[in-house]
Amino acid sequence: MLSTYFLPRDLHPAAWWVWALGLAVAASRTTNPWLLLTILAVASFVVVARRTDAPWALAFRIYLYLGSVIVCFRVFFRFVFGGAEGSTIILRLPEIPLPEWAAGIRLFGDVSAESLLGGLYDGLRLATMVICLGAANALANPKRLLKAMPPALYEVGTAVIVALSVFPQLAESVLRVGRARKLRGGTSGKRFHALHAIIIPVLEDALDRSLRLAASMDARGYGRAGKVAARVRLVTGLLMIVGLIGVCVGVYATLDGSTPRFLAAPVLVAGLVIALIGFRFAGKRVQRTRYRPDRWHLAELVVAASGVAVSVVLFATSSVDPTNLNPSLIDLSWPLLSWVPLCGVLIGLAPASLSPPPEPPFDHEPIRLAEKVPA
Amino acid sequence: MRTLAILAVAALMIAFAPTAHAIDQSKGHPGYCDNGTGVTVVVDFQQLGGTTIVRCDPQSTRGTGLDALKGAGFQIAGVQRWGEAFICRVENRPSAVEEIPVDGNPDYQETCIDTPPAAGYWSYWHAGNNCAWKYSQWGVKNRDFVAGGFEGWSFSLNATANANPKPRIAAVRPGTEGQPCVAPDEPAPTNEDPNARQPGSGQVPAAADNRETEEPDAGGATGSGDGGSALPPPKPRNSGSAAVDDPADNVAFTGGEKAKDVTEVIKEQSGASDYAPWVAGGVVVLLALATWFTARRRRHARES
Amino acid sequence: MIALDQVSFWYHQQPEPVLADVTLSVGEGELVLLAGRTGAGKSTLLGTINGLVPHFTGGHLEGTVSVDGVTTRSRPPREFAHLVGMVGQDPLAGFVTDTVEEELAYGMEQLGLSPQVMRRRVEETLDLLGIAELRRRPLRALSGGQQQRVAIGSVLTMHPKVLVLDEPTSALDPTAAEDVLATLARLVQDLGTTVVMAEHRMERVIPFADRMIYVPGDGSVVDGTPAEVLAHTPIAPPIVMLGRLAGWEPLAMSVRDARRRAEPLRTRLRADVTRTPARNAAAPLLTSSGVVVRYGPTVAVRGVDLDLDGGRVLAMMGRNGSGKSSLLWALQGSGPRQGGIVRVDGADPKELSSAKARTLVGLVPQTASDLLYLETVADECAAADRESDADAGTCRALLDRLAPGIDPRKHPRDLSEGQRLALVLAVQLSAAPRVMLLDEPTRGLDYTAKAALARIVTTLTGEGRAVVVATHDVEFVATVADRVVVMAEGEIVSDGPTVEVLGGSPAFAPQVAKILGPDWLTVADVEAALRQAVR
Repeated sequence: MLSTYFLPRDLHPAAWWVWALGLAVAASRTTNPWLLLTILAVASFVVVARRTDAPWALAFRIYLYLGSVIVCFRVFFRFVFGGAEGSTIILRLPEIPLPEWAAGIRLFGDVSAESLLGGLYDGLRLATMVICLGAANALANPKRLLKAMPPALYEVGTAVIVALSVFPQLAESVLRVGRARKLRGGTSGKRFHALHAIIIPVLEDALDRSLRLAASMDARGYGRAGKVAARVRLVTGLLMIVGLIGVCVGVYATLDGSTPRFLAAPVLVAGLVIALIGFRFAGKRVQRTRYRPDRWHLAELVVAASGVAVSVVLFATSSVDPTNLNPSLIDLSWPLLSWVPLCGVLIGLAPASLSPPPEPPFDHEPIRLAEKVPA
Repeated sequence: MRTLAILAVAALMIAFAPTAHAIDQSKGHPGYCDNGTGVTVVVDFQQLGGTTIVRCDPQSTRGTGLDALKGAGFQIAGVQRWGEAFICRVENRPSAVEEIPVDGNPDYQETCIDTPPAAGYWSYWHAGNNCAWKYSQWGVKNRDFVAGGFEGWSFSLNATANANPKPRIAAVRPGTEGQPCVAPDEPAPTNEDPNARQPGSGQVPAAADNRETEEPDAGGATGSGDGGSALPPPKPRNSGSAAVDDPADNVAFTGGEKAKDVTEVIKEQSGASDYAPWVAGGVVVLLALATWFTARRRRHARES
Repeated sequence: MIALDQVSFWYHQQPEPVLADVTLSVGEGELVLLAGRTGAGKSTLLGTINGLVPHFTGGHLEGTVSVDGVTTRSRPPREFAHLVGMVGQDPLAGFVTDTVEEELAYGMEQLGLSPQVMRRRVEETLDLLGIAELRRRPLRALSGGQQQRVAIGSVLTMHPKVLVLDEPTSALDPTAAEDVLATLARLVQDLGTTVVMAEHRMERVIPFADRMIYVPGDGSVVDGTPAEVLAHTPIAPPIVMLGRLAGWEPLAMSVRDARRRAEPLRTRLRADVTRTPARNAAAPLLTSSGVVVRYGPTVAVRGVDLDLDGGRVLAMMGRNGSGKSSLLWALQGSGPRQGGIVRVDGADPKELSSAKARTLVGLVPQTASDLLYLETVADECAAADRESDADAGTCRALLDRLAPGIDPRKHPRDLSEGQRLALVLAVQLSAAPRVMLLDEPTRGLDYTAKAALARIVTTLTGEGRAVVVATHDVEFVATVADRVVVMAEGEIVSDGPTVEVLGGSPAFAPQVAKILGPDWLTVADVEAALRQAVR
């Protein structure tokens, strides 16, 4: 088995998602900037080492920009709306008095380093979570993830896949129609007319394409799932919905410390069980098969386990050594860090070397981009 | 750009800031206040263990309860959710590793992320000189201290709503025993608005309002009840029935001169190491470099 | 295999039936060509075979349609997926997945075949269609011909007994079209699939077709072998028109056949090679030199020099991706131009505002309907008059000249392809440009509409305008163009009179040239020469 372990292939997308979600959950438990920065560095390195060369994978840097925007906004809001929480005042700005109805809001005034740091830590935590999810998007093809959904959710997955391809087509339509507008003399006239002149052809085009797509899918047998009694469908649908709601509530309760404990683990487990029953039930009736489905091999387990391990270590630390995870802002000092959470985060580096490299691009002939431009 | 510059300045200041000591001895002085200006702050740990601390905040200007606490040199921590509007730790008690035998959860550890439970929290009292301790109706940022009076903090553990323990130090300045109680009667809060200020106290809404706009209805502060695990709504205390305490019943107290450095205590408790942050920084730099190199290598491979 | 029994079909709220009492049957393993004018009902007839009509399109169907004994009345189209495979005009619009391999497997997944069977069939189909090296390519990155082959493959993997194709080669250049048709012929030979195909450019398919069904548009159908049906239809490929002219009986259906029979005709004509003298070229209306168009790192047009003379028609040919559209847009001024000089009437259209540029150079883009956004034809004309600062009614008058008989209250989307093209042409002509550029105007047009377009183009040049037509359609170019420019990879590789460029080229020779020799491009030429010979 070891000989085939490192053969280049694409991993099951769920494995990457479990890894990334493990990192994100770990990041949500702490505001310690050392840990957050380490998580960020780990995620970025694994992405760069293991992503494919498809265009969606190369869009990881957008998430990095988004993360920095989040941090800037948080700090900016602390700066403007509330900054004098601590004792180290670094800037004394005049406060802008607000009318009575906005009495709870404070504009400018003294700005203290503690509050800015608080904003920085908070923003950094949110940014790290967003970037971890971006890492999952960059490593796992979203469409393959939809394909891997249980058969009961197939229709939903197909709808999402088709919707995902609408946007590039719409963008292309808008560009084309916008170009054609120039042929008619450009956007002279009222703004409304100009918008009208672009939207109508684009929408008509989109409608045409969607009808053709629907006809094509129909002609190729989509929806040919066999006859299922309406009552059975209702029961399985209800089971799935109730199960999924239970899972949502359970996950929220687990991650948020302040909800009553009975909502956390029991509801999560119960919801999972019900949802799985519903899926099995619904899936049994479906006669669709899957072409070359992604399978879980040892490498997927290793990747997923590393993500889970990171979040387990941080969860354990929070009950054993909570001070590290939330650095106090009582006084200004470098945040403390102990070895255990740091080493736990570094476990997340495992996929960078312990997983098979991605497949090389589809062929070595460069894509004739000339095909795509109007020729 | 500006925030970056400010952050850089802050970082520099952190590097050169003096290490804070437990009690900030540069603020206030130990013991009672000498005269009618300033306010005496009493911190009674009750069942948490530890000697009661009495210090004076000598400021002659008006200030809120929070100003008094800080001005006397105490190190405090608020909750992450409400900031310093709700005091969670005084002198790092209860610390993050301390296990408090709260009813229903004998190993409870206070993380100070959200409002502490009603079974274990710092209760806020105040009294004028020679008056009985009154459980405060207002939050620490929403009322002004009484000049020449007392601000009391007493840790309430597993106490019912009416039986929060008051500080075990009498609100009597030495040398003023037997004088009548002079304290303005504080009206009860008229509404649930946590930002409402006590009428007649503080003109400009300067530093006392809620600092977080993300939580404009900071309802958990002592002004209004949250139900469940948050604080119970304060009941109006009948101040007339309780007489002023007898100073002879004071427990032993100190002025906090020999208290340990809070930061060091926290560090010991957390098991933090001095080197771990450096190692973390080094790891981050290394990984960033590795990321850049790998990205470059793969881009070259892709384009060739 | 396919049996239509007294089938009539009405669309909703249409009083006239599209199909009236049609009875025909198609045997197993036949290749049937469906021909007829645009809007005559070919697509509807094809749709009845797998039940899209009426289950998907709505409408009222009478009579029975059955495939391999199963009637379409009882089952929806998806239950016919294993029997009938349908391939449409625009393959990209019918793709559901991302890559070639997954697209091929999609139909089989719906049928619930086992994974081993699926893998085997995917490999076989990849080999059959010659797209094995494309297997992991994203679909959007394929060329038109490759996409069409993948679309055919995606229905082939289900091993249907009937393959239905609606104008499969309309969007392809000649070489790609030949590829696709050769593949289809091989399928019919090797697999014994029944193929029913609708195609405007019949000349390519007739050699392979066993049967032909002609749909005149009044609801009936004419059914028979190609030679029988084509003897009498008003629309016919050049080889048939030549056969009618020369009086061949029965008509020759393939170029080889025709060449053998054309010997006597050739001897008659060889003596009469008279060249019509080229019309006097006035000063060029548009001069351009060194035009460079780049899209990022890709160079679409590399330093092209082109002059357009008034009163002449220039045809621009070349495979998809050779830079024709980019060049036209750059000449009009609305497209990117990173280098070179373009001069019309002393001005550079790129420097002018688009309202001014369109009075110098007009362009009808590939998707002409992108320009139309109003509710009625009359509204569009009124807007065009306003935009061109022309007198009210200019556009209306132009439209009547170009395509008479259009109801001004009709919605532009309800017009036929040819009428819509005429409308857009009228809109652009209302600005009275001296240079008119047409990008792929012949896509989707039948022979009659193409003849009408040829007449329009001749009218325009008669008024002294310069007209450029970018197209794949060799027959159209042979009819209408004075000069042909062939582009490849952004450069002009061939520039000369039509006869020279088209005559000897194996890829671009029209059918008449293939039969009679490089000097004869159209049946009209032959006719004129014969008449001259008689005198």
